Amino acid sequence: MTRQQAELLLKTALANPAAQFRDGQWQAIDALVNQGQKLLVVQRTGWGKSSVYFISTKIFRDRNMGPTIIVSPLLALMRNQIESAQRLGLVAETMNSTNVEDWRSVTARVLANQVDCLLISPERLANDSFIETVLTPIADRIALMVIDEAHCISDWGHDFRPDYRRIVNILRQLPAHTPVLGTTATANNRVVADIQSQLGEIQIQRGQLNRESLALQTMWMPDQASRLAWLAQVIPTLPGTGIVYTLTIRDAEQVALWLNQNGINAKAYHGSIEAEGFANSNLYRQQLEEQLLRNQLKVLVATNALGMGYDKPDLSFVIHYQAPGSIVAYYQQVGRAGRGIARAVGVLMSGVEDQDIHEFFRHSAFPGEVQVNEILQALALSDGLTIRALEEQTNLRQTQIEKVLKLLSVENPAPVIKLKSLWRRTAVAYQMDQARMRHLTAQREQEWQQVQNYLTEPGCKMNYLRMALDDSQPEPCGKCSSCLGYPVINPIPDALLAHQAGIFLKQAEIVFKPRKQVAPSKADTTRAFPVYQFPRLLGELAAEEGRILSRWNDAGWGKTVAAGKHGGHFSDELVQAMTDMIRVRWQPNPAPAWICAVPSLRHPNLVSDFASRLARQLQLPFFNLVEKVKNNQPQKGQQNSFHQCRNLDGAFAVYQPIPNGPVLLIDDIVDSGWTLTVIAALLRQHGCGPVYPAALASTSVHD
Amino acid sequence: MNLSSAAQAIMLLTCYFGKASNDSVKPLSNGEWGRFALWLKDNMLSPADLLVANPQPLLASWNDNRITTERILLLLGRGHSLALAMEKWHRAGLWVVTRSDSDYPKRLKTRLKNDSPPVLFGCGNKELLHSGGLAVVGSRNAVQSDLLFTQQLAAKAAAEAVTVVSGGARGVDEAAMLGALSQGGTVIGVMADSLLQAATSAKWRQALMDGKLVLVSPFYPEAGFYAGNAMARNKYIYCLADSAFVVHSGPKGGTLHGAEENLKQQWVPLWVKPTTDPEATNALLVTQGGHWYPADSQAFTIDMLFSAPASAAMEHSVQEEQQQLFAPADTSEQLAVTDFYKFFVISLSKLAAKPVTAEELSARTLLHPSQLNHWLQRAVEDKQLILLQHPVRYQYMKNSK
Repeated sequence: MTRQQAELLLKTALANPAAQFRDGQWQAIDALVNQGQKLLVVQRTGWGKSSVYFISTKIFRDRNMGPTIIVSPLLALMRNQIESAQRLGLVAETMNSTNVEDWRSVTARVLANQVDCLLISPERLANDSFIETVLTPIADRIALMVIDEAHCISDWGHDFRPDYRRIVNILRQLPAHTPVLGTTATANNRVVADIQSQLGEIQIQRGQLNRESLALQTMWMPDQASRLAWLAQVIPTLPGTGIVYTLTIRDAEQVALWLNQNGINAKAYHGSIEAEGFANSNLYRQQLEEQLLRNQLKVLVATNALGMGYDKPDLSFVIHYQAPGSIVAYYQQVGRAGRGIARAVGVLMSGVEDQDIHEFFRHSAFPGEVQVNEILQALALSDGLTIRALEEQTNLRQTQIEKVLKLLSVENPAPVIKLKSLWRRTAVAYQMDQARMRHLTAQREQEWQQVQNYLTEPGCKMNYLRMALDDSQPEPCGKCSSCLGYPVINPIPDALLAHQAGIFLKQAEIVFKPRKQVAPSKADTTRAFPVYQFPRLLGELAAEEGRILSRWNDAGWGKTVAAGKHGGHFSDELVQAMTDMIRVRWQPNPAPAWICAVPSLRHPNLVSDFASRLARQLQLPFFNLVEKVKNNQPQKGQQNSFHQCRNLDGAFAVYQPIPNGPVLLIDDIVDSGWTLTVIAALLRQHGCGPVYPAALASTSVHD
Repeated sequence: MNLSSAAQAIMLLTCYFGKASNDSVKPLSNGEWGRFALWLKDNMLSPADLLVANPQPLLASWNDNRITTERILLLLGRGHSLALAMEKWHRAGLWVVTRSDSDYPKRLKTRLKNDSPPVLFGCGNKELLHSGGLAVVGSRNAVQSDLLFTQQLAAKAAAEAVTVVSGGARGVDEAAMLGALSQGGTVIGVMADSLLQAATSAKWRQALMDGKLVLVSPFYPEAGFYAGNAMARNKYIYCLADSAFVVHSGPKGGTLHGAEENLKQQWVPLWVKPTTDPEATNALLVTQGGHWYPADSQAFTIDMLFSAPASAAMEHSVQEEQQQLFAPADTSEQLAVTDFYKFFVISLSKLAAKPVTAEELSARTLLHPSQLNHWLQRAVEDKQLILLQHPVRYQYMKNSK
């Protein structure tokens, strides 16, 4: 294959008879198709890496070879990518969690040699049953593997992901003559060196980063109300569309809601967002990406789940509501703006909560040694366990168990492996690598420090970013707030808007979704509730939808609730807040006729006192009809559903007679929601009307 | 573990990386690989040389009806399959030894030559593959007393630091392996199927982690049971050992087949346990060259099984004589007591097959001269030896009992 022949393919792909290879494109194709090399390409987004792998695929297919596998966190190829593949006569298919129902037909077509490019997500490649059923049957003929966003391979990368660790281990086993293409737009020297050391013989091709159109600005704004106000006043003044990044799912939803209330067409985007009419989160996310692409939204309010590689050349602003954990992550996100337009802005805001959130991320990045050993111990005594069985045997959260198993199973060799549906202990000795975890944590702290330095950087902001990415540029950008000597956008929030934002934050209650099912099987249900003997599906016994006033310690009422809990008394302010929430915003229908409190032996008066004052305020009778009859373990010590249920079994008794009508069931802090679920079920068993749970704060990690 | 290039090439040419399907290219069999490897050698090529973007020119002079160049090229093109499979196997704690690796077991190479498997998958202590030992084989459906016997035989081997080699199947195999492990002994299990499953099972896990056990298989580690593989696996059990013991051989099936193959190929001495089972083919194996297991409960040591007896003395029929040696009550004492004189006499069957002087015997046995003289005198009195004069020499009496 010569350059001329390949260039003809490029002209076809781009439908442009004048098209010529950009710097490095032909060299990359040549390395893959003529020399069977392994290659890491570090090029800015929009450079045209998809041309490289589509043309290479075309050449391999013409040689009668098998398909190309593209491993990418993207949910789908971008529209322009699909179009250029089509022009080359290539059939591209996607397999990820969004289209499980298509897997069978796609697999059949791949096996029948009708697919040229298969796009799969990294988490698919880390899934043994996917590899076994889909990939292995076609793997003999795979011509090329492409690893998108290859910087995720590196420990040093800002965005190291366990699934990529599995990918590295696969790449390491590839023989010398099997070509691989890794691509990334953001990798500094250390990341490149790390990838090189992990993969051995791999060629590096590096291009220039450039964002000539981007005007950067930073703002330290401690309180959320000010930041919300600023967003609401600034976004309508910005041309075009953009992205607001938040650190947490809850913030994404809250900011989106606020912007909408202020007449801005915004939608929240995060890893678990759902919407009616969409079978799953991924399908809805694709729709959101599409809407932004078509300018049907002003702004997406997103966590970092907004896919890497999301390419909208005319995106005109990226604003961070909270600061990300590293400069590389920031560059990658802010770099989405202004790719194909003359002017775009990137504003980094940072508030008081950022520090705590990153601290939490760092702290929860690795599971504790005790948990790891507990799980290994349970597995060692068996010939394989399900996650549910591990919950019973360990009293660890399901998410903790999954995290431990993930961490352990990406080791190579690994102490655990999933065969069929069971997790099995291998004969591999395991010791947690504390030194490596300390190293990674220290790395994260250093990266966070770099972000804080950026916030106060007096010199050219763009050069600061470039330096951190080892792409130093002696010339200042001339566009950022430092170069200008004045703000790109006025940083002062409107006082009235800030006041309204403050109220908004205090009215940001959480919907309590009642549990409808006790356990996945009848046997599990029986073991969980030997005394109460609830049915597996609660049905009529289930609570209604409820409300939780705040998130524990949040910027709304969360801090007041925490202070009340510690001081042994919830203030009248909270009674009023709760009253407003119920009367003004929630308005449960049919309306509650009486009030009841969740009992406690440890703090017998705290909740009942609050509930009785609330009852007075709502002008409803308060009947303390539920009694705690067993001095059980603190519920917060129960880490998973099985143990949470077991601990509550037989703990409560209900007095007769039960008043008529719906009841408001009051608790202070909600975590798993099992206490409210169990008491509601008991009340219902005793003939009670609909049960509306309401609580002051949620500590659930899922919110 | 990163494989060497040569190992990668051998695996690409000879291994299955997934369940076989009709349209996938068939890896080379042991024999086919043997032929191809020979050709590579003759052409001064290493398997690693084939791992280039276009290996076709290297294969220009290759010509074989069964193994087309196209097949070789397709096999070599399975790099992604290799990587996906190796990542999983390595993650599960399995390793690979190929014929190009220095730690490939020499016993297999020497005994099987070109027929030795090009790739061995394994888990556990790789070193054990070089330890030799006693192969213990027998039926899957053995009776309880045979299982008990097997367990105790293996325990005795363990006590004498002799590695037990077996097939990992249920019945005699498993009894032998668990018997040896329970006494802290070392074990080689040659698996015919499901290596991956076995390597993660509670039964073997601790021994694997303690370095007491190696499980090894020449087959795709995720293969299910297949009688052909079970048959083919037997030869590796014998060839990894130095001596073999058949506890019970049924009228047909793997044990009989394997033992007959061993006798025919004369890999290792074959010992057979007497049995009262009329269906058993134990006696048949003795007529084909196996030896009855020396039933003298006082004198027996595992060590005795490592040289073929020259005398019929030890092969007295003991059909009725049930072995008390491994009766559960007295194992510990039995293991401790060994009659060295008896061992000496057995050794004489070889050492003094022709007349020898006391000096020569002293040099061969390293016994102290006074001890040697004492035992020689006793052996003459026992009519085990004939005393020859001018010069004074001793000769083993062939018909002695």
